Amino acid sequence: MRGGSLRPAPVGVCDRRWLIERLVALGAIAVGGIALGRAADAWPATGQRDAEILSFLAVVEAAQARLYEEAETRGALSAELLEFAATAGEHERAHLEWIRSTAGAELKEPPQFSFGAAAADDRAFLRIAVDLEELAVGAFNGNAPNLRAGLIQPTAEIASVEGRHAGWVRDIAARPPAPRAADPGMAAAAVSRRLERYAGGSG
Amino acid sequence: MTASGGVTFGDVDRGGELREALAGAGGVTRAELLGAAAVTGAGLYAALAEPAEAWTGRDTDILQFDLQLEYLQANMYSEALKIGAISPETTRWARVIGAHEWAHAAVLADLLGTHAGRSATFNYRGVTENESAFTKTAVAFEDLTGALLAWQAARLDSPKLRAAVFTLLTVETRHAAWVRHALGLPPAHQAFDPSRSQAAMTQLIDSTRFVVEAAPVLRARSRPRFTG
Repeated sequence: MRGGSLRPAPVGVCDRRWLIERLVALGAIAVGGIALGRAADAWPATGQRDAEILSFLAVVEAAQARLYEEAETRGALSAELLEFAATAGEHERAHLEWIRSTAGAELKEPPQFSFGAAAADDRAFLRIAVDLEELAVGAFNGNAPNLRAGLIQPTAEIASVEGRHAGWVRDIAARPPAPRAADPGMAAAAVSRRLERYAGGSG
Repeated sequence: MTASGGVTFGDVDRGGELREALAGAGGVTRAELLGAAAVTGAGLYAALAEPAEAWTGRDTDILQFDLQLEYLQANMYSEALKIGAISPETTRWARVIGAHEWAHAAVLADLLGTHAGRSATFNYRGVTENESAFTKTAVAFEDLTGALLAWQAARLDSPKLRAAVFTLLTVETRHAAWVRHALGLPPAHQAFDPSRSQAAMTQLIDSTRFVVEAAPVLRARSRPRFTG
């Protein structure tokens, strides 16, 4: 996919009320908490913190997984984008499964996302995929370092793949794959606000 | 830093490494280096409101290792660009990635301060003079640097350094995906990128024989960096 601008296309709905309440709660906890020393204080006490962080990361993974699943199901995208969706989708589902198995009963299930026609339109899909992959990088970089020691390496291995996805899909979109020399973390509240644009309806 | 907290060129190049890179980089523009350094510096300085002297010996060892690895990569990109034997398409990503690696090196050197030491001396044994050899080596190093940073992130004692390493990790894997995509290789072929230890990375680098003169050992209990 080369050239041209990406026009916003209508997206579907997720359980908007659930999403907003959940993410606002996470955002309120982690406000300003980019993981650079302050975020550890912004998240709850240790026992609860891992579950909250993993639940937050699960929302990001769920949004990505759903976009790619819908794209594959609809099968209307270009071959290149379908290949990306299939590969990245498999990865995001694996990430989500790892989060579920790690958090266990403490995981707060992410909402259901739906992207509707955007999953069948090359330009809309690319725009959203780039955004979601950037959100994933920011979400992991900003919050995974606050997990307990035993979870750092596996989440770093996931963040590594999210970085690949971001570089790959940006290159497909003819955007600089690595626009910065460092990828700053994003606070949960900032990620939440960006995800809200994909929420619609009353859920 | 400026009064508003912005990072200046001087902040990220106190040791003069970046100036040397600008003088010798060839093909990497000053703007690219400054832009890359400013972003890297701002991110890392924001992460580190503690002096290097507060770090543990293990953390210092890790950053010293990373610094030498950045020098190894940055010099490889610069040499390839100067020689000019790589294709225009390869040049396009080599310029950007090279600028990033120089920026990483400059900031790491500045953060380490007196613990930074000088760069090792490298001989790339023709890799920088051949398109195929250069691109394959670039893929390998970008893949492996990401794997190394994931391993190191789990072993850093400082939470702030850990966060800073994450900000570099995903950039290295963006590089890897970009180069792989350009070469027609799978940009992301597995859901989890297995991490690699410093010992494994050292063995790999030793096998290339790129290091002809190792960086000086700065602390008696440190292992030599890249024995070459």
